[in-house]
Amino acid sequence: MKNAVIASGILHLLILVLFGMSIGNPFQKTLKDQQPIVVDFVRIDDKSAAPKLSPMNKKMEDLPKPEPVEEKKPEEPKVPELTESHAQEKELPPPPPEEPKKPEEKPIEKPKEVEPPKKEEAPVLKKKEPEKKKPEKKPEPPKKPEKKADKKPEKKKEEKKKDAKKKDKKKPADKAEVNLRKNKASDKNKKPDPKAKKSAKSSLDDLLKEVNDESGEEGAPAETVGEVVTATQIDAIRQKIRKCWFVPAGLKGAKDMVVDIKMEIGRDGTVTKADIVDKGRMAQDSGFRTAAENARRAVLDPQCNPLPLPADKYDQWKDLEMSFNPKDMF
Amino acid sequence: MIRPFIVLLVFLIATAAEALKIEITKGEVRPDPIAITNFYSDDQEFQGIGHDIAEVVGNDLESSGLFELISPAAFIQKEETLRKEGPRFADWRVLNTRFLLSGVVKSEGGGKLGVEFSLYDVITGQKILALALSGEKAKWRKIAHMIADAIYNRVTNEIGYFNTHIAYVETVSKGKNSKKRIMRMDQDGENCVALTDSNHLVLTPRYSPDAQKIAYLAFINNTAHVYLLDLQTKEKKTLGNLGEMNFAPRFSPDGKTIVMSLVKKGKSAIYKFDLASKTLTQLTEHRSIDTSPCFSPDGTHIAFTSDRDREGGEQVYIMNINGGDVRRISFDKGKYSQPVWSPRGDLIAFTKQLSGQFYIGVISPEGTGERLIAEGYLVEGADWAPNGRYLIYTKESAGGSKSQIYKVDLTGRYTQQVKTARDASDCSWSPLLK
Repeated sequence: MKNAVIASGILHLLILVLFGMSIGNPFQKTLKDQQPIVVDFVRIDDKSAAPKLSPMNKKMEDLPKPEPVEEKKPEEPKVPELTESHAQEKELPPPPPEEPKKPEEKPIEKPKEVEPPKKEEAPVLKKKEPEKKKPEKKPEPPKKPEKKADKKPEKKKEEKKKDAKKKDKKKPADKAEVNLRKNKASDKNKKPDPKAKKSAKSSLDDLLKEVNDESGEEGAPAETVGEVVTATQIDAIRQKIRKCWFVPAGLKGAKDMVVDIKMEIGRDGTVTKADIVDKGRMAQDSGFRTAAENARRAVLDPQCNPLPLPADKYDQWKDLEMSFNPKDMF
Repeated sequence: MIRPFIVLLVFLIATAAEALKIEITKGEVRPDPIAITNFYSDDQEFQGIGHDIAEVVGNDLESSGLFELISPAAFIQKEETLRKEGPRFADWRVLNTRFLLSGVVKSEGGGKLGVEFSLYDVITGQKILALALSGEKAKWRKIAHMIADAIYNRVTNEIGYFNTHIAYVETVSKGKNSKKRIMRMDQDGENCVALTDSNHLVLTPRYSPDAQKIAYLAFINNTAHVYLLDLQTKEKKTLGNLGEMNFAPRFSPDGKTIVMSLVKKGKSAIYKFDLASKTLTQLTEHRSIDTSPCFSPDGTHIAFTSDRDREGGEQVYIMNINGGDVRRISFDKGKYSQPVWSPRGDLIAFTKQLSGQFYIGVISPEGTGERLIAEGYLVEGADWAPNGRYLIYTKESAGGSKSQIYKVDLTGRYTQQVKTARDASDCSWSPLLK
């Protein structure tokens, strides 16, 4: 009897502690595909292809134009794929961006490591932190620098306050459903709009005005605002990383090699640090090392950075973990 | 009683602190892009060799199907600055390459050259391999193959196979008095050398595990006998007068024994011949046609072809090395022959004939997971690369006009012809050379 009372007491205490810590439902952070619950309101206009947002995008494209040329440099070279003419063109511009890196990379190549004759000598391996390179990418403008500047301070503060109070109570399905209905309704209304509007309003000013008006309205729940990364957003990340993950299919036991990588991500969505979780196995199992190195390359590959992460949910994804499991490939 | 709740509390708090986790379950199966610069040399005499070494390494890696070469025309950083300043990774990243190979060639005097090379992971900016090799200047190709092996091994974690030879039978002349001889070449088709003359019909050359000998079949005085060729001394000798006819030799993994077929009264059986004691041990009975024996890499079993089950025609069987515990492993439609055990031990390659078409396939030693990886009017006689990832086989086009050697990877996706000057057949892949 006593034990039951003690147990009951501890359970109650536990619940109080959880509320006290504002943890809410602690399992909620591990998101999977089939978790379409939108927890709170978030602007998804620039991530989704919702028709109403197209004018928004136009606006965005128009505004960044005056951005400095330097920032585009890293993107340009990616386009030309090894054609001679491109290569020659490139020979001229590259030097400037390189210089700052030289000092960082020199330490890697100690010619001393080269060992005398014979092939079978152990390869010299060296580690280097990828962090140094990230600054290169940061300048790449994420899609919404201006949005951030405008909205972050206000939104975030408000949200944080609300979060503390609402978090668990107000989220649930009711609200999500309402949002979805509203979205659907607004989508229906909006779908025919863009084309019609475009033809009707030829002047950019009109268009911008309307966008401004709309964005003002969007403060209302209709367009959804959320604090949790949604399944759609996770899928977008997955799609992007997939293209950079070259699975070593012929590797013995590749099927069962699951590699977990912990990442730190900059505000622009660029992976700044990627650590293989199972370092012990890295040292002992050369097959696992190959799989792990491949996975690490996938997350650090410039072609897959920055990740398409919602800037307003930075706190959610700044520490991200990816698990590379080729189970669907065999 | 209270403990479980404490554990639960700790668990909940730990879970709450967990970072967002995303599972990636699909990726790309495609070759890794690699940029290979000419190996730099201050000495003008060695600049050409530096270029040639880079080219051979590139061809080797590309031929594996696991690497994709970045065109040197696209390189921004040249080998000289690469040598002096190290890689400017940003310049290589824009080419979308994942690896960068740079090296230096220098004279070591006395007709020798030294090569140092470094392999970089361009994405992480790390040097992941650095080695130095030296050897006779005339053997620069071998050095290049060894470099390719080292890179292949570092990136894929598999044993390389570029520093290897292929022995095969060349058709010197066709027709009624066709002449054949045994040839040896590098795995990329270079450095071709004749090992026998074309006075006698020769077939099925097979390498010893130390790559010092070749066992083969020669028809001399209208009788087929197995001969041994010492690759060092070029000496050829028969195993002895063992029967009416003996053929289809294969070395055991320790090189001390040869298994082969021996004909008596029109029926062939499998025999084991001890090279040291010259003793012959019968492993199967002369009741059916048993042929093409091949050891498992651990030396405990032998795979062979037999038509003992009359209904199925030729099929593949496995027995232990004493001839016991015989079991059939091929059961699908068609005839199965020429089993060859993979150096990894997990697969057996075979030739299959079905509905007028030939196939090269693989199957597990348990008889499961049959997979066909090459087909043609006539494809046969597969042999494994030392790393068990590739197979070579003979392919003859319709009408028997041309017989060539082809290489295929285990997936069957990547097939490539191995260039030979004349018609080629009966190929055998050497072990990794030293």
